[in-house]
Amino acid sequence: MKDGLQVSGLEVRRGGARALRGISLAVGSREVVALLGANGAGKTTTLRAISGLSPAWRGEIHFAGREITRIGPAAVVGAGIAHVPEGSRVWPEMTVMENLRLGAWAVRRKSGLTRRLDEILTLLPRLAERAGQLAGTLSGGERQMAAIGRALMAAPRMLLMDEPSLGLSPRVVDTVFDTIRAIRGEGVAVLLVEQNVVRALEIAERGYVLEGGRIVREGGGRELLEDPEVRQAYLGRAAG
Amino acid sequence: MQRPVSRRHLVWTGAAVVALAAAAPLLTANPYAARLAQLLFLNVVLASAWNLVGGFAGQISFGNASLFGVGAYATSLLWLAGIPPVLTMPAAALAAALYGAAWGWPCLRLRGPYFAIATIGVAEATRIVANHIEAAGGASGLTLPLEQDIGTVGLYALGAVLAVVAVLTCDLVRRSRLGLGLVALREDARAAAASGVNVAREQVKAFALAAALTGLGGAYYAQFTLYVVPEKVFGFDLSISLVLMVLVGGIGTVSGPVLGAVIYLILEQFVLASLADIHLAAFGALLIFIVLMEPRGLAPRLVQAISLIRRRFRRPEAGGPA
Repeated sequence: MKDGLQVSGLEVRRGGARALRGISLAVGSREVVALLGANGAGKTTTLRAISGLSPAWRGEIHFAGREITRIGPAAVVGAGIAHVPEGSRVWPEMTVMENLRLGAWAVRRKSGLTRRLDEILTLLPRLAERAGQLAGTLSGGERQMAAIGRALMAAPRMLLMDEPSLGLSPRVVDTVFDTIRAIRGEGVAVLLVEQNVVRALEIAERGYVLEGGRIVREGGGRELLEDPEVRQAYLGRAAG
Repeated sequence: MQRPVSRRHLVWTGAAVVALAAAAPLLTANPYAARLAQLLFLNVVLASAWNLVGGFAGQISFGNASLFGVGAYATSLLWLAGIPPVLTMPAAALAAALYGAAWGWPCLRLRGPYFAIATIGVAEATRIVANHIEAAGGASGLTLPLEQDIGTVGLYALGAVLAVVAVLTCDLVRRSRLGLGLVALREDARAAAASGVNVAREQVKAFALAAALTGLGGAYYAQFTLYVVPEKVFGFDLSISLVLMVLVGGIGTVSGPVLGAVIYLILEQFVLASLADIHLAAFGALLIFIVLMEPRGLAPRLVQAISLIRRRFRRPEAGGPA
């Protein structure tokens, strides 16, 4: 697993309080890993710390055999980790194409960009239809696709996805999860934060459960899905 | 897909250069007209420079006078040391860029109103310090040699070149990777950072560029007024006039600062002539009106009006409306 992501003993403080109390996790190079937990458990903070947006107080983050703990968000993108932030956060006043171009900001070599763009527009055909449109005029699902496409423009080896299905209709959620499968098919690892626990564990090889800034449970996707405590806590019903 | 400079702006710039050249004999013959032209060029340079950071990155500076003053003083001191003033201009640009980068680097980490307040502090501190540097004339400033060597026509041409350079710089930056990053961080700084935009570095780059242009403006000012004094070149009035010009003209657009500079000059000269300092009040009233009615400034509306008029004129040829 040396070529994937390793987080060890990660602590993050927010205004003096410990938002993460020393978590360790790993994501293999072609794996989809789910990060579960209630609101405020520290899921988003974990993703933000990995991508360098929230400074790590203690602990280390390694990616592909290289330490990336304090190199800053721009360099993390350069190292091969792209972040799809919560609520998609596309730039509403910019066109879809401009949003995609911005995803490649940290890419120094511009030679493969046109091909990269073609691949992304093939993967996410709706974006091709909307290329010239302002991102603010897109539907929720299309926005999410634009945010995913933007992250993929950096040619990442790993994607951090924060609640990609939040606020989307069931049919659009299907499309989002199909897209995640397709992304894995291209050899990109995914660390997925999701409130849709069942969907997340169906797709994920493994999962971690966060509670109060600590990892309280980890295991295979199926295994966690059938875990009575997980079912009780996140699905509101016991197994059976 | 995108040209470095759009054809539309190239056409407008070409037309502007021809018009400026044609107007030169008229304006340089009359000393008052010559001064008006110099002030207009200066305002276009300063407002366009302000717009690079204030418009594209959305970081409103009330402290650009500190950069202007550094440029004006750099040129004045080197000039008094015997260097021809035009040759001092690269040094003025460099000094202002370095000063801008030096205080922009910490201050640009702040955003919105926090940045704006910090810029006021830096500019006021700069003014007070300049008042006490006796080697640079202290509070009484520097008087420059009257026998200028480039003449009225030379000053006119220099101003025209600086104005065109400033507007083209705005246009280039707007279309560049830098410009895209600036607009991205203006619209959503966190999303920009998540996409790998180095928010701090890109802002400092743009600010240093704006500072260099503002410093050139200061160097130009010193050459046509032949007198620099801290209360004027580091003054808060100057800083605030730039903000007003760009807000009235159209923030974040390439043509907005130019339009704002023209409107400001007209108001300043015509209201100033009759009612002393009341032009600032008149401009303030206009600003309130514009913020309420046209928050994006007058330039976008003007562009709309021009295209409407063009369509009107074309319609009969096209066979009339359907």
